[in-house]
Amino acid sequence: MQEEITKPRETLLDAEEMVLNMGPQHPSTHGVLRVLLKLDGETVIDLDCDIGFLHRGVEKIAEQDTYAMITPYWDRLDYVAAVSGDLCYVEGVEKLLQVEVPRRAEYLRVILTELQRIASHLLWLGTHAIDIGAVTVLLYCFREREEILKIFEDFIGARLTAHAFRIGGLWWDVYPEFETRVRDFLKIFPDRITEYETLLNTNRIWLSRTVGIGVLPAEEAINLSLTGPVLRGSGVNYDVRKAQPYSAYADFDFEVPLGENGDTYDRYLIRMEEMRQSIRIIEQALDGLPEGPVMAKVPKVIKPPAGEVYHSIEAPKGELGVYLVSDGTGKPYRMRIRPPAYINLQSLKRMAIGHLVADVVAIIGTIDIVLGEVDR
Amino acid sequence: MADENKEIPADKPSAEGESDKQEEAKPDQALTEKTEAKPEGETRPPAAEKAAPPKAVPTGHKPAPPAKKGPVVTVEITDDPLIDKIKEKFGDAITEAVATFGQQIVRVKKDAYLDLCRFLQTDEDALFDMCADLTALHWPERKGEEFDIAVQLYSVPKNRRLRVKVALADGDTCPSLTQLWSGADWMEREAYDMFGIRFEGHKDLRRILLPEDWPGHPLRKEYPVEYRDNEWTDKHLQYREIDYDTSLIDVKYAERR
Amino acid sequence: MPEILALLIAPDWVRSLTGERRPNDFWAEYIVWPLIQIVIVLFIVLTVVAYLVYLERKVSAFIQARLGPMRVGPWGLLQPAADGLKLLLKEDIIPIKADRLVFSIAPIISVVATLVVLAVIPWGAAWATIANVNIGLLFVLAVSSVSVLGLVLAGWSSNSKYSLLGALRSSAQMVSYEVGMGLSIIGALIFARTLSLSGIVEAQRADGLPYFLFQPLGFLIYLISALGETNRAPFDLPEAESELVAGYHTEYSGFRWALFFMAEYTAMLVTSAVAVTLFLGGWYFPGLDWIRSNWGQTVYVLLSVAAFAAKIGALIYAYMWFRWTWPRYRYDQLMELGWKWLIPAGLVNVVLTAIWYVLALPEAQGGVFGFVKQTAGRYVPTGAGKIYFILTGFIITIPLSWALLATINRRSRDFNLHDQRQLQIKLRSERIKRNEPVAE
Repeated sequence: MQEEITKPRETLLDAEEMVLNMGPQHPSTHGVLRVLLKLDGETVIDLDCDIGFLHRGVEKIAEQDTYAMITPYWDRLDYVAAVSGDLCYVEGVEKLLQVEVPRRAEYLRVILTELQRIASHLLWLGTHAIDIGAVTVLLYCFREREEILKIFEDFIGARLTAHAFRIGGLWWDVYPEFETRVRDFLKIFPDRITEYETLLNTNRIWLSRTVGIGVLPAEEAINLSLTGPVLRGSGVNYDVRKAQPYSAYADFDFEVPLGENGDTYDRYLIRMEEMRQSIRIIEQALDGLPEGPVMAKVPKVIKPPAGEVYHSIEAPKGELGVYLVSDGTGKPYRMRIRPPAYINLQSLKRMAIGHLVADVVAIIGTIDIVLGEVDR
Repeated sequence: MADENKEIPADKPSAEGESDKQEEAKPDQALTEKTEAKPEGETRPPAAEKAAPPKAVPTGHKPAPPAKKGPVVTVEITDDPLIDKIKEKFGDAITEAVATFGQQIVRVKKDAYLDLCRFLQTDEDALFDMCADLTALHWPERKGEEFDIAVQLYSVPKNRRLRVKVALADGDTCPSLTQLWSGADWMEREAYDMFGIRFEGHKDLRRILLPEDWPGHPLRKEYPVEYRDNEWTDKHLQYREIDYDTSLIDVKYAERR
Repeated sequence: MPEILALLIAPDWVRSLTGERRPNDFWAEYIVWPLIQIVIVLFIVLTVVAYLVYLERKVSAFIQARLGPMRVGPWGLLQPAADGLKLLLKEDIIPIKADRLVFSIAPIISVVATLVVLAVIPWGAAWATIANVNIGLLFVLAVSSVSVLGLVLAGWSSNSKYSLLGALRSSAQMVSYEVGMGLSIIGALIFARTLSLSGIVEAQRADGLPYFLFQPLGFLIYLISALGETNRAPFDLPEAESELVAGYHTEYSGFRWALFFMAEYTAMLVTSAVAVTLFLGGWYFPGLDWIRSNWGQTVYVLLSVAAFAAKIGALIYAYMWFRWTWPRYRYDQLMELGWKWLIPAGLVNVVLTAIWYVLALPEAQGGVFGFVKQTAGRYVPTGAGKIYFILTGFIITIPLSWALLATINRRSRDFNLHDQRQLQIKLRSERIKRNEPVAE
């Protein structure tokens, strides 16, 4: 089908179809994504994604490395939300080993993951807004993200590809000022979200660019295996934190925002609301943080029994899953990453056909892809 | 937890160096003992394995059957009405229905694979409306059944998961699930790309992550991890070994006006 | 108006340069003095345009919680000089198959067309205008349309499919919004009774009130059309970075690109100047006459120029503010706004203003209220007349136009979104105010 798409008409201003290449280097494709658009005037009539520019063969490498060596690779998949990637894999291995992580570590994991969710959504909002034209929102979002990354840096040691978790818990306990700093951040953050909402929520131009763009009905969304805010925008109540709670999420009281119309505006509202709910979760976790060790008794050499496990978490982008097949040795036999961005990107074709060229950029932004995860 | 490792027959010694020392990690002395607590401290095998020629060596995995029935990990599913219904409907085509680490796996023969999936999608006790993941595994020692396709299914209304596995021989094609779940589209394309498994009924089966004319399928066990010079790089990147004396080259920039 | 023409006579020291004597002072009056004026205006305007770029960077930085250029000179003030020097020294790249002559001429056409307009703008009182053309406004509109030619030629000569399409889109947008601009200024002309820009300022001075009070709708339409005409946000899709079809100036680099950039900022300056002249009272502010009689002619003229510059500065700051706050419209939404909202609004404005004006004529001319009195060749509104015009402008014209526009566009998908989502937005904001969790 790519051959069909790339066969353009020869004349310069033919009124019929034109093939436009939104190349791997483009300010709005959020990474190295190549989209081939077949246009009739300005309307998209066909679309093909060419991915794989960032394919690094993580699944193959994982078959050579021991379980603990693989963990840093997961930070680099969705590099925007590195801590969530860590959580998914580490919990998968803990399922294989059947270790129980101490409560304090679980709570701290939740705090860090929710902070990372806020950071990921901030980056999403900034890039989505700047694609649609509101440049200032990007800089405001990065100002807040900076605070979170500073907290991460002081605890984990890295800002972007933060390797936070180890198999069995956390490697070290949080530093004494951690709680104060997180609480300070939580004090200022709700007002900042209100600031973004003031700029965008009722802005006529924002509404024109996002309402009715990229509509997906609920059944089709489920059929396309979409997960995350893209699915919840269509009204489907599936959030892995609520459906199959992992870590300490069952202890916390939070809501899952759902959309009604399944368009870009709904997904925008959902992600804004998810940030607010993350604040709630972090506050509850900080309030109820138990004392105790932060690392379980895990053998020095991790050799889980032969078997396989599929574990998934609710990453900011969707359902991030790991399918680990172990054959009893210290290295996994097969590690499959279930990438939410990759699977959500399938819906680009379904959503963009019929819209104008300028909407393709908005739709790519609303799916919220990170090419590190799409290509692995 | 440390004891279970002893049940499994000893692997090749090159795979792990210090498997005997089962020291436990002490988080308090984390900063000093960082290097030895992590299993990455184990000694790597000597260069014999690393100097692999392009026709490479499998990485020392001992072959294990897909679902080893052990008292701890894998149990037969006995009291689940849905599994009973499936067994009743499909009979012999279901070769196995076990629960590993609490997760249910149903293994089906290739002929009944598509029917089982359709049943799982439409039956009102099952209602698996989301195909969460589809991937393949390669077991090269299992002659006649080298590949496994593993499909993770999820039911949104019933909030349950199920894994369906089907065994394929090398070169066999597999029925495509895109007619049931359109989300399986790119998952099957990736399985084709990485393993070479063709899916019949898939409308657009071509390579997705690798370039269109890449030879070989990387996630197969015989494909080496480090592999640089193949036909694709020769054709597209055009490496040439040139041997000349650069002092003799006289370069003139073309005048252009 | 002979009174205005009398103010534009060259000062005496110019005549001393050429040795001529009134009334046969052709060289002094028509060659030497205008040349001096042109040089001064060009020099000032080009510097101002360069510093407008710097100002934009500073304004955008401060809006975005950062500092902007700070390194080159104190507070980054020499940044435009550095940028200009860099652009001048860049390699001159012309694509192979491009039409070389047209490629070189296109930016020149654009920038010259916008610079020519500076000749008729009344920068200040008395001798601070280069040429007082009595069809000044028509001249402005006509000449600034020529810059569209430069755009299209640029796109064509680049020999690139995407440049051509971008050029066509930009030019279509500019032409559409020019119609809106043309319609919106007619309302002010009904009050000013002259097309000469200096005359319009004098009219506002004689009437005592800037015309945006009489013509709020016209002012608004003019502002929006000016944004669309100059390709500024939120109508800058043809030149946005995230847009797929590249703009007409993709193939341009170095100083040619700088010329396009200058043309854009000069156009911004010119449209702001026209807006200030037509609607904000030009260089006049109340108290200027007192200054003239007490502090002399020179101070009077200089202060008038300063007032004009301040008003233009406020408008340009507003333009920059808009650019960095709002997202941008999609191309079809942009064209819909221009044709289906601004042009009908402009027409309605003209018709209604004419109706109010005719009604306000004295009984002898067929009017009803007699709110305008004939004075020295033009009609001046009385005190009651001013209130009448202000009231009709704000209270009747605007709601009536809004009703008409809503009727015309009741089925427009893109512009009735706020109402479509009204309930959702309201419920959500209420829940957030009550600090309740919001899960729809």
